[in-house]
Amino acid sequence: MREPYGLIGVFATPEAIQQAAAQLRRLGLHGVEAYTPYPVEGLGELLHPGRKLFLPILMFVAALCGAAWGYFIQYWDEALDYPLNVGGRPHNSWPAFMVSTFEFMLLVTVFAGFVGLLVASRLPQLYHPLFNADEFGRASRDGFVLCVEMRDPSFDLATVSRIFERCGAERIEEVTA
Amino acid sequence: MSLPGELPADEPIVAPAVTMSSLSFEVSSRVLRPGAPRWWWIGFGFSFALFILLVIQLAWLFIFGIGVWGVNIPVAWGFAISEYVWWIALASGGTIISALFHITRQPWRAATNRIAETMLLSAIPCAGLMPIMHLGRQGLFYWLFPYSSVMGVWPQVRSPLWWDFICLFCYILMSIMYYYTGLLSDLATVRDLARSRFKQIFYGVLALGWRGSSREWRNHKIVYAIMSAIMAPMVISVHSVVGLDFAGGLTTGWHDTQFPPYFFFGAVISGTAVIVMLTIIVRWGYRLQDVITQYHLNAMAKVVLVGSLLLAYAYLWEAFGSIYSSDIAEYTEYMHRMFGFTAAGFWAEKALVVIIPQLLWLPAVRRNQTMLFLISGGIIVGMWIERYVFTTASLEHNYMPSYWGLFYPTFWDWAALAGTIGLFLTMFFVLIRLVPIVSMAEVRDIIEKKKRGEA
Amino acid sequence: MTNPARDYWRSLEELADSPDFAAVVEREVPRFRDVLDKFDRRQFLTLMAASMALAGLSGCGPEPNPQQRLPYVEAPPGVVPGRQRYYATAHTRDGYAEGVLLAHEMARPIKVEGNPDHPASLGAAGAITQASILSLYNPRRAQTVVGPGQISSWEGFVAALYRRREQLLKKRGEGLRLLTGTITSPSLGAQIAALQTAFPAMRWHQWEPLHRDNELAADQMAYGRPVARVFDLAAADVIFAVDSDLISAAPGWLAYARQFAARRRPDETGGKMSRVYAIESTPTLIGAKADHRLPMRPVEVAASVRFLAGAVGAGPSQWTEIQSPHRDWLKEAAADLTANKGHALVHAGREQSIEIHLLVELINAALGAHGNTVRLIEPPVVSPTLHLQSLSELVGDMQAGKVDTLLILDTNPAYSAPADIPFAAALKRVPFSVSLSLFADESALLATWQVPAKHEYEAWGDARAFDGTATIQQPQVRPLYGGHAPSEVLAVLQGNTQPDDLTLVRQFWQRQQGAGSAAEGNPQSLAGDAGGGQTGPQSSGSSQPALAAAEAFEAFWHEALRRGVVANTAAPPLTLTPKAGLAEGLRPLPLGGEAAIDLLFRPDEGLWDGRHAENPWLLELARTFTRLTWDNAALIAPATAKKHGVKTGDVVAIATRYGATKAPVFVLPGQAPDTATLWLGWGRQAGALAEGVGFDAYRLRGAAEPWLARATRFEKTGETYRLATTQGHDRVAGRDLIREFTLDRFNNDPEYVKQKSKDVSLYPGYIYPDRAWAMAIDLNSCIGCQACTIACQAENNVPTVGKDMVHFGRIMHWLRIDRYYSGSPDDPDVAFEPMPCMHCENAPCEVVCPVHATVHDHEGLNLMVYNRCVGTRFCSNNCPYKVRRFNFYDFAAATERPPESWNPDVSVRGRGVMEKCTYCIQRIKVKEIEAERDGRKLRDGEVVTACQQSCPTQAIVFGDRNDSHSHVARRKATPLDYVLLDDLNTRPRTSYAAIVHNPNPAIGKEQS
Repeated sequence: MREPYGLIGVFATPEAIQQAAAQLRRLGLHGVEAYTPYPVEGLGELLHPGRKLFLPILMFVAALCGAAWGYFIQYWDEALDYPLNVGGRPHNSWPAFMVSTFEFMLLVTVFAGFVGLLVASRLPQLYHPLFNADEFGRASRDGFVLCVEMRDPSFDLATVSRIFERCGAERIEEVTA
Repeated sequence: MSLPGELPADEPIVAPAVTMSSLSFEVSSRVLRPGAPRWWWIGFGFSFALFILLVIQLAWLFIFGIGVWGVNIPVAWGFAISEYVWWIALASGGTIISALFHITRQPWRAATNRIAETMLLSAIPCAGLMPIMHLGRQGLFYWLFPYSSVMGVWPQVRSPLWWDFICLFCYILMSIMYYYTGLLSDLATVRDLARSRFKQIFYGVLALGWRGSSREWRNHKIVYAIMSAIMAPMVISVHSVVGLDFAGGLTTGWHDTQFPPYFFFGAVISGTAVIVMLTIIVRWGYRLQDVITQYHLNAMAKVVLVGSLLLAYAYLWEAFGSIYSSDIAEYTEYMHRMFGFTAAGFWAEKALVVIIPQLLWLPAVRRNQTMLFLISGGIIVGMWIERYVFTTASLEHNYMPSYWGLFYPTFWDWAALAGTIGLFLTMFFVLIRLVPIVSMAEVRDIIEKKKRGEA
Repeated sequence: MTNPARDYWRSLEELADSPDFAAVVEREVPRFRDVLDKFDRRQFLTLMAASMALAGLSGCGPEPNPQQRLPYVEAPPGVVPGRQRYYATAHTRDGYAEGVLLAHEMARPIKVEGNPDHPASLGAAGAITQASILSLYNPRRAQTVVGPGQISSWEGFVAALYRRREQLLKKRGEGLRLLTGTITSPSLGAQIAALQTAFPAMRWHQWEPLHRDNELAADQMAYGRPVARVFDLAAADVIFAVDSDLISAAPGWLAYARQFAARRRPDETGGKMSRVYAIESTPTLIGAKADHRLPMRPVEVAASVRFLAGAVGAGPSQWTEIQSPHRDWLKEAAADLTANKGHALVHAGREQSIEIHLLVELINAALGAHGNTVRLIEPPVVSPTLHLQSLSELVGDMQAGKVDTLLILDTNPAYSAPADIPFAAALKRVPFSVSLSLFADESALLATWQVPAKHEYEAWGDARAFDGTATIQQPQVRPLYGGHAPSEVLAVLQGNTQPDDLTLVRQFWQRQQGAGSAAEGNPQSLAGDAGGGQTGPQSSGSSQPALAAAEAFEAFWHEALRRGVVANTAAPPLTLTPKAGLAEGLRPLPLGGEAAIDLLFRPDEGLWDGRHAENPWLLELARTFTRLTWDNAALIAPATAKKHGVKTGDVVAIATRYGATKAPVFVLPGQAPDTATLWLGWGRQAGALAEGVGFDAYRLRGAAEPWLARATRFEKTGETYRLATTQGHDRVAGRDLIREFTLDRFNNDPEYVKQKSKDVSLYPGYIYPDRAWAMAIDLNSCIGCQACTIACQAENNVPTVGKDMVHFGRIMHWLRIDRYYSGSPDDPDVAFEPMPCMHCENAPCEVVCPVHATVHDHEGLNLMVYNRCVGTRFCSNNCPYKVRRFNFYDFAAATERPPESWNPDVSVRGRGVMEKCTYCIQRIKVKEIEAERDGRKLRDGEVVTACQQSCPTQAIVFGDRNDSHSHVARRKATPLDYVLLDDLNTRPRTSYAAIVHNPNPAIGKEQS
């Protein structure tokens, strides 16, 4: 048998979903997540409070590593592994190495950012219970979907749906996994 | 298509009629609708024909060697390299629009950046192909990768060519990642609207299961912002390094410290110009006048104007440096460029890139799509001529008078040009058929802001 | 090697040992398909295998037993891969010998080099001589004996000629004629003399299109006998050149060029220089080096020479009363000459009139040149003859049907005869004619018998140098394509049906040595020529060791072959004085009609009289002044071009009394107005490469005016023709490329002369502790002869590319000679500048190569790593000197030459690879290895680059710059030394010595 996953409410405006989210937070419910067609300001902070520094730090470290890697490749090549007299230039002609060092730095940073984004967002995740909901598709168009997971012991179907209705949910639906 | 420019002064960035849902349906339907419109087939067919020419050209080139081109000693670089610069400039334009104006928070960027980046992705292969084709031994281009390829020998990393190779390599990877990051949420939209099983799976996989949760959005925002902040200097560096290919050389007319910014200015103007042209086509073809409005074209026209002014400044410095410098070789070379074999090209290029674009000072011209289209086209041609002139003319009148020579392109030179244009358009037409051509998430944001009277 | 028919035919020929098989083949028409029909596949494969084996063999050097045909199972002692062995022989031009050494690798001759022991070479070798190695291997050489109407064989020919001989003997040789070029070969001379006695009625004719009839006629007038001259330029302080080929074509020019240059290097001669005046109608090398040069029409030249004669007292003094803008100039020149009596020299080129040659002789006599700067000697030529007369007599007899047997040995009158001497037509009337030639040329195709000749490097023979010194020519390789020597053909007439050139030559010299007691070691006496009988001073010495004659001869023979020179064979000097009253006897000059164009016929620098027309190196050699390749043209002065409204590339119709042709115009600064120079030797009707290349100037040339013809028509046709030149721009365009000073500036103000170089660099310079290879090129010495260009091409496997590619700007020469003009285009100063790689220490090319394909080695060589090159061509763009060459196509593979002819020490470059001058690194390495093996340091002058070696004037010096005593270091130490484009701070290793002029202060620049 398909056990339930959560309850979703579909709202028409960002204000509505923000209001609903705020009330649910006040209930202290966990497993509350909002799904919106575009980043609604404040919603993320509301549902996941606290400063999130993981990605910026990751990309900064990546930048340092990229630069170091970039310079080292060139230094190893020209000065250590196979030093040659090229046009009378010194083996370690660092000014000439700078450009590629820079490029390597940027490449590694962006790569780290891209991977970091997927990891932090738990992507790729091709199946998710929410996809079973009829109305969930609107979350990627014009609907603002709020979902409360039923795992939480303090979850009470009546309360949550009342909050949804009060905040003007156009539709409320139970989602099963 | 072209509604001449009698629009109200305060052109809306998005037509009032457009709502989030209409936007999503409109844009997605362009991708999901079965079959393609007639104009698309015509455009694609034409492009593909040219692409076939490229294939033939490549075969001919690889069988007989680059002797089939007009290159010689002293003019050892001909079309291939000047066109490489030209393509890179077009590509860079894409990043400039999408990255530079994202970090500067330009609202009009939202509706156009996807076109810009699609153009960028289509232009980069052409740019990448050129320098490989022009090698004497094309099969060995991979020796430029930083690994000890033959007898433990590494690439020579002092060479501007190597910097350039690395730049291009990084630029391609980064552009793809940047493009994809911006595309995720829109792929989700298409996935959710797709009806046919195949398309659901196709876009479902591409969307990686994006759901638009607030966590995803927050991460996305952070990463995308940083990426933009990186792509902006990246694109500047890319084209500056292309400039160093020449400035790093010890050749009359090339050995010039202003080349990096000079080249970047060229990228700004030619890149934006080509985006203007494509935008006008797509907007008309996909009936997206409500989403991509006069406002956008107007804004980009201004960018073109700025680019043209910057370039005019660079030209002045080039002329001053060459004529005022005590270096007789520089002087004779520039005289040759202005009044010699390449004179026609020299003046044509100045007219197309600097003089004519000044028309854009007039709002009427900026709003007249036909004019805009023609001027942009002229700029693209002009920039091609410019690259061609300074590449060959400098080599023609080098330091050694006994070895002055001239460059005459052959049929296969032109075939390479036409062929890469074919490759570019083919890729562009395929891409606009497969991916939503407007960044919906960002436009939704703008629509909502408008509702609340923020934008 | 493109045409398979030739290959297979050659294979069959080589296989044709067994007479029966030979017979089979010879019956067949030599075409691949027929061959296939003839044999089944298996047999065919056998043939192929055999042919391969033999082809591999074809290069075995002089073997002990020439009949032997076995591959090396064990290499003979001394044959070491990578180690070169040298064999001496001689290359002849116009019959005069230039001693050469052929470098053999794995017993294959791969390069021609000068023979230091030979007086006409002194170790140098001209462009044509160097290129002869390619003619040797040329797969398009004649390879089949063709009899009347069908393919025949040597045996068949011998049989036919022998039958002929029987009949001729009956009529004492009536109707038997011999036609040869100029012959200096004593043995051949003796053979002909012997024939003459066997066939008293036989007549010997000579035809050399570049004959020296006028000189001979003048000598006949002056001395009543033929003489030859040897000049001593070392003793000449003042040289007056009248359209002179002294350092470009005259017999012995290599030696003269060396003496000449030795007097033009003030930094080595303590600030002293010779002074050179030149009057000429078309630019010559000596004219380009002259301190004072006047371009003038031939009529003016004649007048000027008369003026000179009058001024120095060699002619009536009223000759000095001429109306000429150049009068003062001539007066000063004459004064200068008289002031240097005994140290002055006047020389007129072969093309000048009898009168001018006569006057020049008289002037020299008056200047006391004889015995000082000019030595008269017994002519080395066997029976000097007036060729034009000789040929016209022959043709007359042929038309009259008096000739029934004609042997044409190594000359091609059907092509080169004057237009009004219808040799070709007359030849058809000769029932039995034989043409012995290297290629199936025009004459061969018309003759009833065409017999392939042996190349000089395949045959035994001998020849004399300009001073009479004899050389015994030994074959360097078994005949590649069959072929036979002239001596063998003549031997058949003498009744020898198994002739063998080795025996013939050997026997002759045996007789010489045998007769040594009569006329010791001086073959002159037995050469059977006009000057027979006299004995030289050197023969009075006891040159014969007291040994048994046979041993003595063996010793002599080996020594002669080893050194490439037969000792004590230099012609004895003559002490003669010209008859009196000759000048007075001369008729007054005809007035030079205006407006009409004077056509000047000149030998082509590369194709010579046309005999080298199949040689791609020479076809592609950019001519000294025009930088023109693959074509000849009508060279006219800028003024003349303006007058006729033509420019370079316009086609004009030219006609003389004798014929007409069309020719493209080339506007040549320094050409005399109203004259057009036409190079002979082009526009061949027979041949593969040369056929229809350029236009045939012989069609305009008449017997009466062999060198100078009045054009009856010279009109623009409106057509244009594409000429492929290699130089983009004629002037230095403000660059500091050519530095010139006057002699007193050099002597009085060395500081001014010195190049001010600001040697600044951001980086610390590299240190080259042990050796630093460097090159110094003396522009004073360089006469622009381009021997170095061909030497480099031969040494370094530089491919030819063809006219279209040259036109595209893809010529491959590693070493080019730039030619720059300064001054007015009517009479410019000319400067030559050889351009090898500069081997910059801060090489711009290396920095921009992304794959380390060009880098420096520890001795400062700028290396080019072909295998690593991917062909970005950035290095070429970045080379300010433009010395890098790129293989846009697979040029080497397209070059038509057998694999065994390439230099195995130098890799042959493939498609898409950059290449350039390497300072002959292969030669450096060989010497380094030798030195290492012997555990010693390299000696200065041990490593010699190909260009340096071939240079007649020793303009190029190469060596270790770090060794302060080395020649190159000393050259670089002079204040004249400078590097090109110094301000780019590339620090070139190749430096140049500035040009120093020695003008006559009495002559204002505006006149000279």
